[in-house]
Amino acid sequence: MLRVKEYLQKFYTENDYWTLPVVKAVTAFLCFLTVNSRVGFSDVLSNPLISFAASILCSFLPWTCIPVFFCLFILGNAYAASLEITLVAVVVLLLASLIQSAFRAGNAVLIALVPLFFYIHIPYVLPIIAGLSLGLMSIVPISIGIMLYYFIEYMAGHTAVAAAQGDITAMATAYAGLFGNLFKDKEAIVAILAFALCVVVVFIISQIPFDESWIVAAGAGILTTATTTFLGHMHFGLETSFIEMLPGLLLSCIVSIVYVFAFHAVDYQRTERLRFEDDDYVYFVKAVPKLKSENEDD
Amino acid sequence: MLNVEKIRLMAQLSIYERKEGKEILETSRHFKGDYISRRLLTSAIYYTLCFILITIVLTIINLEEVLLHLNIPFIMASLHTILFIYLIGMVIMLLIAYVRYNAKFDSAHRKSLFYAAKLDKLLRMQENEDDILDITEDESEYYKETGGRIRIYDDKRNTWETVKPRFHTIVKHVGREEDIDEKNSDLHYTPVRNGSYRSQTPKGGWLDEPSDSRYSTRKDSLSTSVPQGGWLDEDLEDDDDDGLEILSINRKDK
Repeated sequence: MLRVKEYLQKFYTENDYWTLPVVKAVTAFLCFLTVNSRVGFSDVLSNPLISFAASILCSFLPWTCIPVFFCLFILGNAYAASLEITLVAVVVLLLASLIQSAFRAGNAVLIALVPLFFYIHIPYVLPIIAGLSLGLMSIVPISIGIMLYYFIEYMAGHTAVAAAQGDITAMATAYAGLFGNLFKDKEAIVAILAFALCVVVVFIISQIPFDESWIVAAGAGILTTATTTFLGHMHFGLETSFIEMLPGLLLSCIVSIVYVFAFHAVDYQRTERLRFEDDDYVYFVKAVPKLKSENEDD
Repeated sequence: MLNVEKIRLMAQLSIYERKEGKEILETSRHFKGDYISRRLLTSAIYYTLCFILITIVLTIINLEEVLLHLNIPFIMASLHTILFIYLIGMVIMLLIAYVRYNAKFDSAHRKSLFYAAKLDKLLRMQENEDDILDITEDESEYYKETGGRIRIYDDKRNTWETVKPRFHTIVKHVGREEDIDEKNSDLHYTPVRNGSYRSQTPKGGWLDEPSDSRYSTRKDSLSTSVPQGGWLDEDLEDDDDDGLEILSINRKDK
């Protein structure tokens, strides 16, 4: 196990100049693909070439650009669907960006990653990873991501909104229905609560210094999410599909354990290329992170 | 002449700057109170915007009810409630923000002390090539990372050569009886060290002469003896290879 870890570390340190952009581009492409496959109303944006070009753009832009493009894709598709949906989308995205900047939460990639992980049915991994390595503030982007996921679902379900023209009261009622359905979605509230609790639990347990604290934290996180979701669904009287949740939970468990093994106590430092100068010289230095072999006793 | 130690320190500084520089710069430009109040102000503004947006959405959702009760008392009552909720939310938000940015400023300030220690050492290295950097016990924590042995790869013989640093840091135990002149740090590091004084000592002594005789003799004992407790920054780790690979060094055109 240690050898694998060391190999990974070495591989990353030596090849980071191409792995990082590729990972970024693939992540971005998958995110855009989820939007287009679920709510691909716009013919132009649904073109895989556009997603591809956008992800290439993301590959050398900072991580924060992925959620920005993600939101643009949602907005574009909403515009293609109908004007009412666009209005709702604008409000939702504005709210999301306001909340994100109010907390200065950072880790904005999570906003785009949460919907993606929901669609590949392992969303429970994300709060665990966030709690383990990103800190408490990642609750904010995760919650926004959940909001966006349910918004996308909502968009997919409400393509045709018949807003009566001319009559203000009828229009208002139509909009009230639109917003009401979205903001009173109990499932979303339960999910946000469960994920936030999970992040808190995982963060606290992983900070307690004892052996295997990361694995225990991951397990506790999964349990927290499962129980909170279950209880929440019971409380709001939603249909509980615990059997359907089970494979997702198991998969999440496996993925988080893999994550713990791959990333616990490993510092994936990057090779830095530096340029600095003093009075006489200009120096170009490549700083390769030191690799300590942990298993010298073996 | 190229000084390997200096290059190493400069590389460290450069990496540190790249990783933490933004945070350090942001906090070092303000006093703590100013920094926190600025952050509190921005979060209050964002909170207000969020609140307005959410209120509008909620009003639209409950539009029918609002239109049904469209009279003055109802509007006043709802405004009261809204204001009340707004203020409570604002207090909670500001409390959270205060705790968070307080901690953030402290951590950034600590980082800036490490950074300043490195910069300080670099500056003094530029002033005199072989030297000793005296620091007080309070500062020692920040200077720990600034040194260590250096390995240089010899191309021709294909070997690694370990170079011991010529510039050392030791912890000075400050006595309380030292006068203010003593504590004024720079004076320690600028004495003429070649021991070739010919002139007579002026009345009252040289301004830059170390008052403690230990300082003037240290240069001679440097090559042989090591002070009690050892140099602070030597032998941080056994195999102290920082993995610096110098791609090129260009002389500046002047």
